[in-house]
Amino acid sequence: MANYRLTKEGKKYLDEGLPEKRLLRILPEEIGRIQKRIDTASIAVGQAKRRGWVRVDGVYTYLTPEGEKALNTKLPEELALEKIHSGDFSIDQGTLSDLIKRGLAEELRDDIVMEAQRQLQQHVQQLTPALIKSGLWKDASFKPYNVTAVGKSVYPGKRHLTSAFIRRARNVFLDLGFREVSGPMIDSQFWNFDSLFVPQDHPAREMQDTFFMKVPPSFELPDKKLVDSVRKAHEIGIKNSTGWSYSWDEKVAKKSVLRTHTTSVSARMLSQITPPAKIFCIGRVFRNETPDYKHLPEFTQVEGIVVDESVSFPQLLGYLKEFFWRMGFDKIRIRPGFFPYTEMSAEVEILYNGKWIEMGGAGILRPEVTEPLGITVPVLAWGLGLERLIMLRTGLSDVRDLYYKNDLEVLRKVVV
Amino acid sequence: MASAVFDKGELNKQVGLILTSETLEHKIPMMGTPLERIEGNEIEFEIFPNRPELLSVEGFSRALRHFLRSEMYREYEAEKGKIELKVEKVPARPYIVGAVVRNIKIDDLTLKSLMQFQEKMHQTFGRNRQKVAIGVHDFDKVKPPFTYKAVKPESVKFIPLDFKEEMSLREITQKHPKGKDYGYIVENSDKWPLLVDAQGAVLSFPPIINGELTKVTTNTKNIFIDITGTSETAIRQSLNILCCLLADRGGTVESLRGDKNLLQVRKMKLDLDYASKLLDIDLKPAEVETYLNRMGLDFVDGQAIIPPYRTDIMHPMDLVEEIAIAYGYEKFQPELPRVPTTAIRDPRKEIVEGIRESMIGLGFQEVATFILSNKDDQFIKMNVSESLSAEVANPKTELYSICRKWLAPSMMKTFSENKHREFPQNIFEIGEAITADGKEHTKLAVGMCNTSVGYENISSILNSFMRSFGLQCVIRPMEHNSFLQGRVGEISVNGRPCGFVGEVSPAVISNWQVDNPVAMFEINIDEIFKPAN
Repeated sequence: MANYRLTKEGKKYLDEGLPEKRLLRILPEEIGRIQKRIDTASIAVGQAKRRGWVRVDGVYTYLTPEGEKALNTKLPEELALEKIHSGDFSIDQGTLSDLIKRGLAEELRDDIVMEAQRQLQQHVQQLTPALIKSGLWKDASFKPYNVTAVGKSVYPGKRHLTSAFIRRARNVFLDLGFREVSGPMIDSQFWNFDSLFVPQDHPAREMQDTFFMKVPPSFELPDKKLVDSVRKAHEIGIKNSTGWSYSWDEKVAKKSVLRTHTTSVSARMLSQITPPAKIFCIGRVFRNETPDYKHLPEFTQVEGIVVDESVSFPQLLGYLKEFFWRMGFDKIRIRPGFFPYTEMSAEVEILYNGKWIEMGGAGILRPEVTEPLGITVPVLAWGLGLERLIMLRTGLSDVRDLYYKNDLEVLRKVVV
Repeated sequence: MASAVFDKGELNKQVGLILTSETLEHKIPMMGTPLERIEGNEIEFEIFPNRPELLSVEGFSRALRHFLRSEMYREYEAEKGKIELKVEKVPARPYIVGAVVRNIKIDDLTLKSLMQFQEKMHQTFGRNRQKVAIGVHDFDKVKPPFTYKAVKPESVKFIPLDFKEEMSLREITQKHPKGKDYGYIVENSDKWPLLVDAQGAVLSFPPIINGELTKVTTNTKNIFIDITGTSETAIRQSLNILCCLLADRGGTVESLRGDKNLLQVRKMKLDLDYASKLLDIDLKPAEVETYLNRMGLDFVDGQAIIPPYRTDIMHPMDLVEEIAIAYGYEKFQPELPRVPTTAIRDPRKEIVEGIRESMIGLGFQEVATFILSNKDDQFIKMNVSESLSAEVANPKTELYSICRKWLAPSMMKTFSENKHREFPQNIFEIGEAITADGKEHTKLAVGMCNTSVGYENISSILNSFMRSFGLQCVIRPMEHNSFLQGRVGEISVNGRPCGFVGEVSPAVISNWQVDNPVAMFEINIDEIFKPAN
């Protein structure tokens, strides 16, 4: 025997009464007013008309004698609704199919019910659509789970460790009102060394092991005026300075290298801007070193310059402190250092696990750098290595885990 | 990076202080010489290239005496001497300077220190002897006047240092270790440099080797110094440093006849307002004098006095740094930045971020690999023919000898390194590739590796990706040897080809020693996404 149940609408009519019955109770009434008093007015009128219970005369709708009789009897549909609700399915087919047609009841297929009953017989593990639809979930008891157990690992889409930190560092400088710039990775020695007052023959030029390029071998130099002022700075110095006293060779300056620092980008920018300016660049730099747990042939440098009349050494400390604090390190210190293009040079260290760790360099650019590039105000500058910072924050001990290996287990598990 | 190793006892003696580990680890680095290591009695410091005088224990202790013990500014003077050095034309090595140092007591330590200092100077400041080469001689073994000249390599023979037999200059470059190492510096000329005395006795064959005749020993009482090179400034600076070193050891420095420049002091005007502004402290003349004294300089009547052994002070800015170091870098308080500018984002970086987010949203793990690569990874393992790429002239290892032209090899490399990690492995990389003209191209590569993965998987990802940017892509069948024939297509957006998608060929998969099928796509970001200006 089939099983049935009331639909949502069916339940509503069980509670409120069939709409056509509700209509009968308020007649006689103006058509317009009917709609205001019964929400299912169109259904009500339709059904009442079909059964001959109402007569429409002009604007008004009236009860007929048949309608009056219906008002005082329990209709078969009403009885059927009550029966189905209580699980009694002894209803004549005609009424039943009416209810089904009107969307007030539905048949429960045997298989759903059987399935639900079968599931009930076992201790229910999983809630199923069959149990829900049949209503048999009410009789089910669900096996308790060990809620403390961990489910199977699911790996979300995720940033690489380095790009997550690059994003963080980027946001620090944007938040401080800096302009983001970028520059070429393969560049001329002019921008990578000469414009930064690194003499062509000084040991400082090999302080960082450099990748010299065979292809492309060289680039054209920028405009003659700029090149000449850089040449002069090298050969005889600028006002108040002695320069390096040697003969500057244009051919060497044209030769191309993979940039050893992002300071080449700063130099390019200085030749184009007017103060005040705050500029930063986060990019790949290259050192011709054999990779080991501390060194990579390529890594990321965070470069920044501040160009303004009002800058001073304590402000340089201010920017550095701000950056490291936002990246999660609140104790920094600086030591006197040396870079050929800064004077006030400083090496920047942060405190980690009781030890001071070197993170990069900073200083005020030498006038021999800035004046030939057309800048007459002081320029604060810094170049910080991002990978070391990442390793300190994530506890990785081998820098090769960052690019060299891309170990999915490390990348998936590390908290960024 | 240059460093100097000192004996702890010697250093303590020269400085006149017992240097505690607190001083060694914290105070001395704040002078500008980081501590590298302490091992037993040896202490190693990093010496920056602009302070070559610190490479010797004499120079280093001198600096410490000023910095730690506030020793007063010391004047170095040269007596006007009569010894003559005749300089002839020597095209191979034009410049020479010299000096005499008398009444010096040379013990084993001094000798050792002198030798080490010479070697270090040669390696660093002297650019492997090419720019500067120092010769130190026992003055009493030879007779002035000295002559510096150019001679034919076979025409002169002498006994080189530490050898027993006479050799010609040519033979020295062929047989003597120093000749073999440094002969290249003079070999291109037909006449080579030589320093001789009045009787033709050879003092040295610069920059290669001195003669055994004038070898300096613990019996030497008077020294003659010769310094040759390619830069007059550099050899003068080196001579000054060496003379000051020997003066500190008790010797009396005497200049050669006609040399007015030896141990000359330099003066540089310092504007105190300029210095005060840069350091944001109020500097008074008396304070500046104290600070500069601590750094071995002096300050008189608004001018800094720079001793002859300092080669690094080129601009008043250098003096400001000296003041800051003496004041103490650790004393400066960070100040809030004051320059009002607003953030400007690089639109291309914004585009890359958007792409990254889209791939993360599709459940992919980002990887990051090197831009430097090699022919094996870029071409051979990928089964494609070699093409011109940006190439390194001096690679240390073949592994990093060219710049990558595409990112597909990075995908394969990552899979090959993760064979024992959980599957599925869905990865992507967005980064630069560089072509032979030096231009950079931003590319996105997406790879899927699993026991079962195929074209429909990767193309479904490609389409999702394109849809999320409102782009329509058209795929056309193409030939590509990295992929299974018939399962690779060329991607075009707005009618422009910009990438490829397909199932990687098992030959390539095997080349990379990967065990599972791989499907991937790679697109050129610059082609498709143009920043809205």
